Amino acid sequence: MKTVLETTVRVTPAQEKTNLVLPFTLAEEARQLKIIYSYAPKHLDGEAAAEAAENCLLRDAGEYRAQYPAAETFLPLKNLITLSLDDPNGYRGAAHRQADSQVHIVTETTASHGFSAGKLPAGDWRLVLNVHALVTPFCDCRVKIEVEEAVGNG
Amino acid sequence: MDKAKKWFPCELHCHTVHSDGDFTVETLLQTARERGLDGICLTDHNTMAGWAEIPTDSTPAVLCGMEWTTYFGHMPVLDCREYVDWRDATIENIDEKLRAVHDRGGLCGMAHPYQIGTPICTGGFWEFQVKDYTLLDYIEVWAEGAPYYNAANSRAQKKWQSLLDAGYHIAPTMGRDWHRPTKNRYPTACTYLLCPTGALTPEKMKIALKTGRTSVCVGPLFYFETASGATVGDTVPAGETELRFCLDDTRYRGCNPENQFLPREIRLLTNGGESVLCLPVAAGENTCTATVHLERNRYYRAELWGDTDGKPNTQLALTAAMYTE
Repeated sequence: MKTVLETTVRVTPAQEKTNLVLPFTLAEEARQLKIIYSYAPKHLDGEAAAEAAENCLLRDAGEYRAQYPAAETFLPLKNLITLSLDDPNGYRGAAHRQADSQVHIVTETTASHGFSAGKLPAGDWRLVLNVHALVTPFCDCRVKIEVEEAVGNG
Repeated sequence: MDKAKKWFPCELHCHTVHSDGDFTVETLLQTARERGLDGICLTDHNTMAGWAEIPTDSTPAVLCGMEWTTYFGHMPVLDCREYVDWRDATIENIDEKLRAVHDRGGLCGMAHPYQIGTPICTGGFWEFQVKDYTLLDYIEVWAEGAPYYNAANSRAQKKWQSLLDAGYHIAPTMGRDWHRPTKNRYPTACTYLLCPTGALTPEKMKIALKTGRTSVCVGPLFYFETASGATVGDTVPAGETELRFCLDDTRYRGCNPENQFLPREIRLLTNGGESVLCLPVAAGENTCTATVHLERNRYYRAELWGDTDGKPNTQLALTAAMYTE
């Protein structure tokens, strides 16, 4: 098993609604790719969260605000930073879900939910952090990618 | 009705474990079968990984798609030959993205446009500034629950109406945003698609959406047609026209079957939402006819109103539009 990427990325609210690209390279075609990912903090609660939720409701519900429940109903607010993956030939899927700790394994014949199984060709890959929501002052994303090389590649 | 065609109940917005749903692909198909649905769209967030698990000649028919879960709106993209990247879609460049999907044979829908957005439901509120609405194939005028349970649905219907007023031909749909086998919070509904008879196929579903042959109903099927069988999605000559409004309560019912369903009034609407006709529906009556003078260069769409789920005088169904020359 070889680690091809290991990093911690600090994401701030200024990066909400953007993609943070983490490039990595496979020198040889691989047998298995393992992505270990976690981020923290996940939640924002309390007064600041209630205010943010109320602002969101006012912005999007507008004159219909009264038809929605109190802001507190929507707490805690959550950071949501999903992973998507590209191989040298194109998109390999995404893990669009709330879990703040995820492990994904992709091989030629199997893949964790959200990703497409298939050959793991040599070349330039990208793991992309999709910052859907960033409600805390910052959020640290830890990423490690381990590669098992194909038989015959030493 | 044209005997070569039939209305098929479908659910056009479904998720599985490949994104944030609880359904596996298999349990989604099983549950859809149990609910009497003939077709579904598999629209996991930002992934096509579930497509490989759909059996050949699946029942229900599955139209494969991906719900682009972007930062500025959720957009189901259906049956696109090649992947088009959702990640760099912006409020301003959305027309280019819509065009790229269309160039690859895909369809684009507007999902729950007035859902509360980030951070409560990330990207759920449609902020995209579409300039050319001919590039948009359908709008979820009802999302998640039946309209009387979801404030956002009345806004979505107004949006759809405004696009019809502007001359665009866009199909209205219902999207349950189905994630798990347990009941949704609210009674739901379904989209009926008018397709050639015989087994429903993904291709037939796609054509029905593309050509605006849809009817959105909380219960029995509701649609209207001319005496010669022209119906929603069609363009017909202006002039005196006999219209037949039909209810088929033998068809799929989205709501809980034990709930009452009492149709009371059929409304025909035209440009600006102007009411052309109100027809009372007598108890047990399944067909009503009326002769209407159709004006040139207009659209006509029908709604069914009545009582259901303890709600009196509520909207029970709305059809796509028929157009005049």
